[in-house]
Amino acid sequence: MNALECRRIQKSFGSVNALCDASLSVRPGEIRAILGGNGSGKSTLAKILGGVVRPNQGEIKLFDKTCSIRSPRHSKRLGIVITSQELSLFTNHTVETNLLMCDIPRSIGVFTNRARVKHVGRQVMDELNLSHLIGKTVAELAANEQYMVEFAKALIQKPKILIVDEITSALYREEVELVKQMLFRLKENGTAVLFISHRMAEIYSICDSVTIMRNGETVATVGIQEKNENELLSMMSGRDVTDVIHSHTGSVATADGPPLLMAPQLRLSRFGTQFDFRVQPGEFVGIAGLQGHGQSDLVRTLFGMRGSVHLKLEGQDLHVSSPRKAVAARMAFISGDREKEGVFSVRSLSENLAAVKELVMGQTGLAADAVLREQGVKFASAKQPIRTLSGGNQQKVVIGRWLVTNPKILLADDPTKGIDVQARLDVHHMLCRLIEKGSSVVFVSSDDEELVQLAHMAPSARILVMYEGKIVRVLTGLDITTENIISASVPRGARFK
Amino acid sequence: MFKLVEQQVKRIISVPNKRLRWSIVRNNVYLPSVIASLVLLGLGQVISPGFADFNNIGNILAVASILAIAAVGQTMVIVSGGEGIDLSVGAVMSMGALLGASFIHGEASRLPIAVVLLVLIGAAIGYINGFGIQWVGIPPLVMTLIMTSVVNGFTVAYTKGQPSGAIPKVLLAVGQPIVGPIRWLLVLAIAILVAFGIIMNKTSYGKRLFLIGSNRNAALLSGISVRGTVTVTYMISGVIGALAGLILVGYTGNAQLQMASDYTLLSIAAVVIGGTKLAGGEGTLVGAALGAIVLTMLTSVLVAVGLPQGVRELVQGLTLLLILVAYSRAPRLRQ
Repeated sequence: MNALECRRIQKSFGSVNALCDASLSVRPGEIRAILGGNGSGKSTLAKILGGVVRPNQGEIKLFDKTCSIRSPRHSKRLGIVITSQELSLFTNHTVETNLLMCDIPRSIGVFTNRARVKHVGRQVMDELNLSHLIGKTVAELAANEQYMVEFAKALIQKPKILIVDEITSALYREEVELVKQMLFRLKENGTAVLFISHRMAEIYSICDSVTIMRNGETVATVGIQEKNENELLSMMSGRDVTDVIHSHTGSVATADGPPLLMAPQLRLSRFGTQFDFRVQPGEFVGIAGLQGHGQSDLVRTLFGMRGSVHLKLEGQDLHVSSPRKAVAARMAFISGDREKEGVFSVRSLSENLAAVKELVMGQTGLAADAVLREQGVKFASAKQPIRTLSGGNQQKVVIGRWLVTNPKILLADDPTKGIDVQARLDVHHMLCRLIEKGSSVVFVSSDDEELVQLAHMAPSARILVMYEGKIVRVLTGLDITTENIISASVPRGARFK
Repeated sequence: MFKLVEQQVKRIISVPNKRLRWSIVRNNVYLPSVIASLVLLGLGQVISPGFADFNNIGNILAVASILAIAAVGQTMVIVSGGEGIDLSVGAVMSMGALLGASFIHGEASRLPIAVVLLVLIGAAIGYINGFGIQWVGIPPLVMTLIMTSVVNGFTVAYTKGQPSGAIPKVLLAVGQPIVGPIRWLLVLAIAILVAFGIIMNKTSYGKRLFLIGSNRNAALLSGISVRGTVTVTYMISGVIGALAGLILVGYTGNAQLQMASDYTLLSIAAVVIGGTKLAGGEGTLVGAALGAIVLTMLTSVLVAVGLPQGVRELVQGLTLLLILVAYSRAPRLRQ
């Protein structure tokens, strides 16, 4: 009997296939690791099981009974519990109220039975060595303690199927050990666990088996002792990862001469990490890593969006305290979130194009039609509202907005997210032309392949791989391959906080 | 206005394709208000013959002119987006009326100094609005509502509730006819509309305003000064409100406490009828002016019908509600 069986699950959002063929089956008492890179479909699968999104096709069986999971509420009733990185806690409530939020004990049917809430809460927290947190509100806790409360909340619901989504990355070593013990106890009681993580050491010490996902497909499921780390990574990337050099961290300039931009002791406030960052003139710097490890924070900090930052641009000291200051220093920023941070959707193409050059830098006389044609935008009139264009063409206009200002350095935060292949190539060519003119580009992407392609198009390039807010690897020259990026994104060995 | 109608109709008729013609009719933001005012004019004439004669049209246009001026500031604030709205317009206008009359104190020679003082006070009120909204982070609705009571209190405290002497002839002239139905007020309103139309569409400030209203985050990331631009917009609204109050005194011939409090709601309604989206980023002053004409016509027709005041206000309120429902639906459907 299987606790959970998914057969050929398929899910697409618009034209994007998030899952195209996901199948897996987990026995009661099995701890299964799910391993996959960005966009491999791990979180979509978790969301489907949690009832947040519904699959387009496919069959889900729980304990050999076919179910369609209609809502998060329904999923809970079926015994599926998810602990996720995005905490499901109410920060203004106490720890014990949060623990029992899904099933608050009542007296006379209407009033919260506080004594019982405290009692049950204390029982669970005792097991996790956390009873000192009872009575505090979640907002008062440190991040790792919050994650432990999230985990405890899942335990209290007595899950039949527990999905642990990258929760351990915020925990200390001893806490991970506790989580492991609790998972083993659940295992004895016959709970099936899906353990989503990218920490190899944990996967090897906790899990029985591992399912590897790539591009929305489950490519293989193997026993944990059957494959070593390199073999798992090869299966993740779809290519051979043989002898990966695990050496230096820090910056290696491949272009000579004085740097264009220096950021000494650059601090990422969300992670509390610090490192030196520099960009050479005419260089392409790709920023890689699993999503949410500080890549976006890095470029946004440089652009003055996270408070004042001290930079050296062409040897001159510069304090960038807002995007306005950054623009004045001839920096540019392109966001991948077109709707929220890119387009002025109800305004015309020419207005969108002239936003920086005319209205911020005060230079008039922009020939909108000529520029739009040069950037390969498909349009009828420069006066049409930008929302009438396709996503890719919209993004070309946004990039054009910055190209006409001749920036010294262009920061891009996953700018080709969700645009079609042709538009993506056009964007790459636009950036390459900018680099040829002597500007530098710092480019964050969740698509490792894209970074490798761009690096090979530029005359000088480096790829920095980030993990937990730090630069863990710098790739140059022939080392720039998707395999190397993936293996550096998923650190191996015991690397606990 | 008739010329405008003629132009629009000609443009629409000249389109060969029937379906295209219909879509132009539907997408034209001015057309509903133009049709509405013509229908109301006809209705008024049927109910009370003489409604459509020059004198009455002149009256309607004069009253609409004051509303149109007040709606200029409101349009700009709403275009600035971020739930921008100025609920203090009515209070600022009442203040402009009372303080203006008291500054002038019956002497025509003191008109310029009164104008300068009102500009300064209006700008100060707008600056406080902008500061509260942009730097302190108070929602525009709340901030400008609070300002309403602050400004009302200030007005009462300054004038001690006393009426303020005679209004000089120069100011009363705004209500006098020039030729046919055209009065000085109308000329003044058109001049103000043209001036601010140029400011909105041709200057760098105006272009920034539209972009900020369309997408604040994108504007910030483009290096556009969002706080400064929005604050200036509230200041403009304050200045226009104060001066509109002075013009109102010229038209009515006397100043009373809270005489213009209705203008807050009316100015917002005029802006919405004129096709300006409450979401920000789009909008025209011509639309607001047409909206002002529709609203004034509506009131006149209701008066002509001879409804008692309570029923009239009820009908007016319900009509505004209907109009707002009809116009606010479009953007939500689009999302």
